[in-house]
Amino acid sequence: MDDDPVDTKPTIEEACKPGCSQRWADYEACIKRVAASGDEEAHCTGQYLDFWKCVDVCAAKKIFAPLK
Amino acid sequence: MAAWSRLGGRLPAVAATAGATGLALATGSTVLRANDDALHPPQFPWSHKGALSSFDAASIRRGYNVYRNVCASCHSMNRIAYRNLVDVAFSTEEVKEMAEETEVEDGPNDEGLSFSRPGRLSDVMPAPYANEEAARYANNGALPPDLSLIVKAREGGEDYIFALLTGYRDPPEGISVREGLHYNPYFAGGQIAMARALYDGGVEFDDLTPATTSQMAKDVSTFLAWAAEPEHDERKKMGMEWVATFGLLTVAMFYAKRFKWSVFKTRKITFR
Repeated sequence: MDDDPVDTKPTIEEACKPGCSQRWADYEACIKRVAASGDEEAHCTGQYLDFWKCVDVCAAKKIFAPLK
Repeated sequence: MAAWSRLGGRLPAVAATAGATGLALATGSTVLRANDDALHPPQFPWSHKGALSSFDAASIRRGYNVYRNVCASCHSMNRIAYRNLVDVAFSTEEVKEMAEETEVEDGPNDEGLSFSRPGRLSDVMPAPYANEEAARYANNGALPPDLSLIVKAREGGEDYIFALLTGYRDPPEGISVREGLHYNPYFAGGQIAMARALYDGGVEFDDLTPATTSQMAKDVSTFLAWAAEPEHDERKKMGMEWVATFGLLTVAMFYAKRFKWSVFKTRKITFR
């Protein structure tokens, strides 16, 4: 095979992201809040993980479908 | 009346408690959870998850390929011997050939010296490092864990392994990843020493399955799930046999009891 096969997982996750737009908005709001506070220790891991949790739950069942 | 007034007297207190909870929720005070530093993997639809489902042998075979060509350069598997693979995913001849390709230190010989010989079925998977210190020295201080029981040793099992292998992402805002570490939300703490190892086309499967990242991760997770519990298929089969046997026995014993007692249950005693 000359061409490397292309993984479908990123595409599936991309398709799930619109359903998690509220989580992403929370994350972006956090970024603004952190930037405004000027606190160097502050980070947005919680919101970031919540967003990916939402994407994961949506994508988990679909990721295995095209695989053997 | 007295009971009612007691209840009436208590009501404001209950309302006050509910109000306080509501206030906490309404003001959006932060809820801190213990799992905030790691993303828990979702449940993937593994084909071996059902109560009577067995492992996918073709997937184990591909998974061994991934382990051998990708993982084995850092991770040992010292509880799995070549003979364990026989009749699981490979034939005896295939496994013998694979074992013979390795070189094993053995000894002592007639002169009391150690010597190296080609591997045999009874040899365990060759370890990439001689000892823990060598492994840490080669990996920037981090120890690649032995993978024999890794699926049982991590919360989430094969879901975790799959999510971790395919889950390398950009770090969130405000997190700086230490040099030599990589951001992975599924790893506790978020920073893992192992770099992403699986890339599309990283191996070539002998059944010509397209080797995408997800496919390789799924197969190697299945392989590791098998390695951690080789008795899995036998266990489920035996469970079914025992439940079926005892189920039938229960029915038979119920019938036998009713049959034996029917004489006593239906007799009539008349006194004259």
